[in-house]
Amino acid sequence: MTTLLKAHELRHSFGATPALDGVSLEVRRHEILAVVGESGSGKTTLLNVLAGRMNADQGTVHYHDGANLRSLSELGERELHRLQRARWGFVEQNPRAALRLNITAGGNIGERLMAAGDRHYGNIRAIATHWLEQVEIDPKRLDDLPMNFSGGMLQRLQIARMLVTEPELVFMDEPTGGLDASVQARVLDLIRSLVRRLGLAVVLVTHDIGVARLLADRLIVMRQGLIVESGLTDQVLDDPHHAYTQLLVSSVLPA
Amino acid sequence: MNQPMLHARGINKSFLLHLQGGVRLDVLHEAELAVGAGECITLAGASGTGKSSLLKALYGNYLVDGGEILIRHLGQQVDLAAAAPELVLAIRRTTIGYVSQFLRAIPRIAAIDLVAEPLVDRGASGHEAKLRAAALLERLGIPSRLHGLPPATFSGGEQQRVNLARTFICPWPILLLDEPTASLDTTNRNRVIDLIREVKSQGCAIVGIFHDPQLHDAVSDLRLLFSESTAHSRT
Repeated sequence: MTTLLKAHELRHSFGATPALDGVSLEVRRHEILAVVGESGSGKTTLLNVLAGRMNADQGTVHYHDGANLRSLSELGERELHRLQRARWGFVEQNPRAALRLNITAGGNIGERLMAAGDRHYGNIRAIATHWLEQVEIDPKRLDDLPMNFSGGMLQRLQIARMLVTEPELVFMDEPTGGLDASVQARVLDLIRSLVRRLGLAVVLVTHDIGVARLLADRLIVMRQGLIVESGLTDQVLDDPHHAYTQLLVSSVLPA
Repeated sequence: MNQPMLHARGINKSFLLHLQGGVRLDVLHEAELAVGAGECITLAGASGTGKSSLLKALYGNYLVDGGEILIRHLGQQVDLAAAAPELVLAIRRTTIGYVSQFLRAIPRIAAIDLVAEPLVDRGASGHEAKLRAAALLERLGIPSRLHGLPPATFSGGEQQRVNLARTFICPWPILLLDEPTASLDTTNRNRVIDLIREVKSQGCAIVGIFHDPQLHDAVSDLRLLFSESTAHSRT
């Protein structure tokens, strides 16, 4: 059994506009699944529902906790929060939304460890230092405030904060969307190597099909709340079948 | 031939171009091909007759509309044309290697790490993988001063050899080669010929597109001629 997350017939509307119009999918252990589509296609709503950050009007999300497949709606709020704080991670497009800018870089990382139950100060400091190195931030910055960090560093700090509990499933919403191209390459490369090394499963929302091609094993193309096409990333991008996917692929300027 | 490593039959492939008013291009019609261990088949014929499309279909990069692609994968016969994405990925990790015409460089990653990566994915230590990557790059005429640089700035021929090294660093039961020597000079082409002959003698089944007649004559056992009608005939 390698299914980690399973969504069935998700439906959700904002007013009269359907954001999810019957979406089903599975995420397998160690797999990177990209969700691409234009603004308003429902991809961010899908990510939030999968991550247990909002409830869909209809449909179910099940998570395999190692022993059983359990419905998110049947987990209590406490248990869901425990999952989100330790075994899952979320990377926001804007790191300022996830980090606390008025406490130190080390404090930001330590906070998540403490929320997951670690209380030993020396441990927390050593682990925070280790993860700063993993995301290529000089450990000397451990006691600096992130408000003085560049956008790329903030994003890497957010990734370190999320990885410190060694999650098995990570949700990413346009993780390089707000970064300059030169910084973007570094963060992408970092995500690519960490994800492979740690064996993470990732659900990645992006409108950038270059990012999807670089990172994802599988790809889902969404439009108007529906999955219009899915498959192996290179197959969907090199041999797109749906009219919308053909438009998406042909609209990209070659680098 | 004893049991083939790869046997594709009844392969049909067309492209429906929605953005061009629904034009349909029929590219492959009932194509068939079988290749055994230690054998090399080349796909020949004019541009636009479907050679690359067939090669891409054999790698699961293009979806076929009909037919079977039977592959010996870890001792079992599987149909790649009907395989779920996870199985296609597993086949690509251990059974089928593919060398495209162009290297898809990854920003910031050094040539040597790019070449070592498939070995690390198979469980080799980083140190061992790098030693083997360096040796293979040297063998393909990429000097060690270039090993630490990302290949995006390399010449076409250098990129092509990095691309070859990234695939040839692992042993493969089946290899698909799309014009692997297109941008190489004679010396480097001969190095690649040696490499292909070596894996062939070790039992690798090869399907290739070789426009280079020297390469073709040096390694090919059988030529499938593609024509406008897209079905091939043997020569």
